Amino acid sequence: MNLPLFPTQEIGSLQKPAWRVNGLKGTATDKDINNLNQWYNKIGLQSRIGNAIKLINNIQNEKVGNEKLKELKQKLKEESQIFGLKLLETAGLDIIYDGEQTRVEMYEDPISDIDGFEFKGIVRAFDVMKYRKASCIAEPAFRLPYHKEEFLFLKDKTEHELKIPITGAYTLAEWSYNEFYGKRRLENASLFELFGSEKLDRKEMALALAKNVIRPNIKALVDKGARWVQIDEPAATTYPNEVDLVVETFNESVKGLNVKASIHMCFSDYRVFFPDVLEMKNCYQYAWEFANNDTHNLGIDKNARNGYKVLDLFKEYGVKGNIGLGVLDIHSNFIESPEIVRDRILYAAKVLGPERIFVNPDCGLRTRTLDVAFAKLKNMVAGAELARKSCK
Amino acid sequence: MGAEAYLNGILPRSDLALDIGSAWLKGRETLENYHKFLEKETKEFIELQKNLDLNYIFDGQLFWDDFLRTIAASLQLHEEGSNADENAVTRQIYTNTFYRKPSIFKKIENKNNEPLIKDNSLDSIPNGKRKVILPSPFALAYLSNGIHKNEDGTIKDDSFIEVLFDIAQVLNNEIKRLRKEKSVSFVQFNEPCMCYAEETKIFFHDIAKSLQIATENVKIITSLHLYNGDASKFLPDIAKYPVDRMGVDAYNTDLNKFSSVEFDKFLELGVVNSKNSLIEEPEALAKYAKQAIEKINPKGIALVPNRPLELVPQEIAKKKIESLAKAKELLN
Repeated sequence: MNLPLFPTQEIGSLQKPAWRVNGLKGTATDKDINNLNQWYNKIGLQSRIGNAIKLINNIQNEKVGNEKLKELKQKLKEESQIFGLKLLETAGLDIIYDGEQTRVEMYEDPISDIDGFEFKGIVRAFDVMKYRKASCIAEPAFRLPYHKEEFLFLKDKTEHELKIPITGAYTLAEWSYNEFYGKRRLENASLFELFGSEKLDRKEMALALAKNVIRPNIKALVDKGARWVQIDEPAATTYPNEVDLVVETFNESVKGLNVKASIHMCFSDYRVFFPDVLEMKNCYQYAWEFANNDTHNLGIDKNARNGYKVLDLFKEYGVKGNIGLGVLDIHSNFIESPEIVRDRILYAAKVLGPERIFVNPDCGLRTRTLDVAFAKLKNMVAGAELARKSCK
Repeated sequence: MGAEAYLNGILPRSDLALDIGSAWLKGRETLENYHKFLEKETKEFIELQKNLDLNYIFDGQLFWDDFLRTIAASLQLHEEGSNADENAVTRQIYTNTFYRKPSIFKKIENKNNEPLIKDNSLDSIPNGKRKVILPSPFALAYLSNGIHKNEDGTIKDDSFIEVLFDIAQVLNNEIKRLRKEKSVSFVQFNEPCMCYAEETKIFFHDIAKSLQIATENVKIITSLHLYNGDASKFLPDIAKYPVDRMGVDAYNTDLNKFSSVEFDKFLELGVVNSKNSLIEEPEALAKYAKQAIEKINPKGIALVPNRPLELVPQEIAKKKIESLAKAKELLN
């Protein structure tokens, strides 16, 4: 597929529309249906409005049997996949997916489909943001190719390049409790043997996940025609002295597979990733968050672009591979202007050369309303176009 | 030697509290109701600590959105036109939690001596057991942006020290206030950065001085809880830091090294692992305490979590706290 200079891409999840959330529960309101109408008109899905509303109404029909209800709910989830895909297409992105409309979230969803884990409860990530957290209670094992159906549904629904996000082994391990390996090691341990035990336990779990679970999952996608997987590793720099394990699990996850593999990381101290990043084998793209720490000022000097300082390290260490440049702050409703986006891109191009720069939000936009996300994405696309013009 | 047991950082909100918080964010619940619920859980945690006869009791810090936020908000450490709740979201190294990065763009001071922390629940804690937990001056300075940092995020030596001491001074005023108005007996500084920050060795003595400033002229038990890395690398000098007690994360600290130095402090042994859902057996915790007493020979010993228990769901945290209390019983 021919991509323009500064290709634009989504990075992860979009908020799920209310008609989808409430529709699945059988509690969709008139307001939700109006919202569906507005959005479907906005993104060119007019011909599907009737079908989508019919699905929602049928789910609400109490006389529907269990089997039929399950089928209807699956169809509504697929409808929201099309919605996500089309929203990103309409915003003008070059590389897309479905906004992860079928997934609960990036941790809970895969963990639910891996053998060896048990959910323990809900914990807070920050402010009022939370997630369900599981514990590893047996050696992690492959149960099913959990993203295959989602990809098969999408693959012939768009002409755009599809990039499939998959949560990485290291993040799954780091975000889980570790009863299985922890208990085994600590039985009868003395106080002085606790030191370092967590790291050893985590390594065993992460490598088992990479080999037993992530690699078979990616293989299942590749076998069905997937060309690009994005391994999401937001936990990558959690431990500054453990980045080598992130690299090792990435390499294990894609070993022997004929696929374009990239890595997404966010909200990290990226400095600790150097020089270990050089050991990553065939990493096509490093998609990182930057805008979160940047100013809102225009300009392509270092002061204006202080959120992008880490790009210097890519240059300094001679890291190969493309950069997925985060240009939208996903924790703010501030709509970045095309000019700010342009300047962020041009600054990166100045540091690393234009050919390596892909353009994306810092992370998934699920924390923003669809209106805000759409406005941000449209300006991102417009900003990339301005940057292209500046480079001519 | 007997042992003490107590807690040392933000406790987890319940599933319901998290749901209510989430509903508030989405505009489906009022802030007042959300805060009422957190107050209810604060009371429950205080009662739990009382019932389990923990030696010192704190309020659980359920209102703290991260371990810096309450202080950052009170000191208005944010950029003009925003507030502390809008500062950049930044991952807290060693955990999957985040903090809002404070911004220090002018001299830190608390001109009107306004209270920096919410303190109304301290009244329900018995006198002599009241404990308050604050970020260490170094952690607050190190994790902030501002006048003490260069463009590339590295530290400007002179202005960093100035900021460090200014923070220490405002914390000292707050501790004096808490001692005087609320009869607080114990102040703990949480220090999640020293063990991993490369700059620690440069500012090692300045950090010590900042702790001295923060605690001077106030009669109160002081503690520094070091987590997120190996505290043993600062031995033997760290053992001379100007605090009465020192907390360590036993899962990340080489305690063998503590046995080869004179450690004339109360050791807070972080053996309840807040990063694992496994509930520690009281017998194992008691065994660890005995091994520490035998090999390290500290002035006293307290069993504590290795890091704040906010990292496990509330029900698991409660079980871990019970285990801690049972271990204390076994030792006394």
